[in-house]
Amino acid sequence: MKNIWKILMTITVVAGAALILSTAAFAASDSKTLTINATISARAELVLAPTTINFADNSPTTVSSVSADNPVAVTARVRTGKATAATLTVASANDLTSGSDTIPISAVSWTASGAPFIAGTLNKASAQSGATFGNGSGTYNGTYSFFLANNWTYNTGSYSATVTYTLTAP
Amino acid sequence: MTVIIERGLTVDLTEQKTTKQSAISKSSVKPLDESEQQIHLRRKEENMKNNSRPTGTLLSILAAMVMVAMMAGSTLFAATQTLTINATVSARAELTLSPSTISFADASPTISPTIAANSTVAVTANVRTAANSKATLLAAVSGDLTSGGDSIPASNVSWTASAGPFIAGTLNKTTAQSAANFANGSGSYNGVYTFTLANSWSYNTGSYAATVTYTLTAP
Repeated sequence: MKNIWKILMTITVVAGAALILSTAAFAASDSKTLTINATISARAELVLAPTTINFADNSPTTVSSVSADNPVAVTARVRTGKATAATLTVASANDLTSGSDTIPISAVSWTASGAPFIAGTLNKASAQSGATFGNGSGTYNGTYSFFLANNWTYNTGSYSATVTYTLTAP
Repeated sequence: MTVIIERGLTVDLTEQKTTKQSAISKSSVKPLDESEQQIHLRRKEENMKNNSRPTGTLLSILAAMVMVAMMAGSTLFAATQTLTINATVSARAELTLSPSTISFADASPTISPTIAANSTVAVTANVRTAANSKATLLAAVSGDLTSGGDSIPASNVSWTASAGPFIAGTLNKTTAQSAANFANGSGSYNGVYTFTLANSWSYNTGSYAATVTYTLTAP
């Protein structure tokens, strides 16, 4: 009887110790999730520098095409859908004017360096495209170089016109 | 043979010589015969017994009183039992994030190169672990922020932490990032994460989302 009691006690002690050891050996962990949302909307930013260019007087005989005093650096930043393309248009509602005298705005043209910018000629009847963008978002840098077709028919004067560039991210 | 005579004289009966009392002459001391000596010795012992009885009696009484007191005490007041108290403290980890959703609003990358989330995230980590082991907190994101077929790299989301043990970091879809440096042992920790999104013109329009799983482990 005494031996049975001893054995039972030993089993109890061993089992208790095993339970304590096994409990201590387990690691505990807890996890939580954090959901991160971000909204990206359509955006467009256009930078031209400088914002004024000048054509100096030149002899049409010697300089048939007058270069502007500076090229125009252009930066277009676009956020749009993956399947849509931004547009850049150049609108000039009027000819270059000096009082009542005019030089046709179509006498002004430009070349472009750096895709997606493209060359073109101003047109007061319809806005011209200044770039051919691919689909999706992006940042683009280029340079426009402007020229004025020179002509002996132009009356003397200080002519001016304003051209509006519009970058659209659909 | 040496005997003790009255008045404390020591007399060597054999040599008939006194050692202390020179005033007593040899002829004036009459040797005791044997029976007298025995009587004398018995009386002496009895006297000694009688003289020592009061002290012995007192000691006996005191001992009895102590015994009685002890018996009475053990019976009435001093019942003692031992109580063994056991407590099991297992490894535990509790993590709380609030809120569980944050949002980044649209903003121009030119004006806002980084966008702050609409809310900070309060984090509470309760940890029970061994004194020589430390908990870990990992932030895992399985993929980029997605909107249909479009995506924003998860690595463009980073965070700062208000206080230790929480630390700043950047999401990484390939490797879970540590979000806290715990010291050894148990504790309760509170902090705040502030999330930012690196803004870019390259993001296509859309409503993007990703899920980050934070796992607190107490080894």
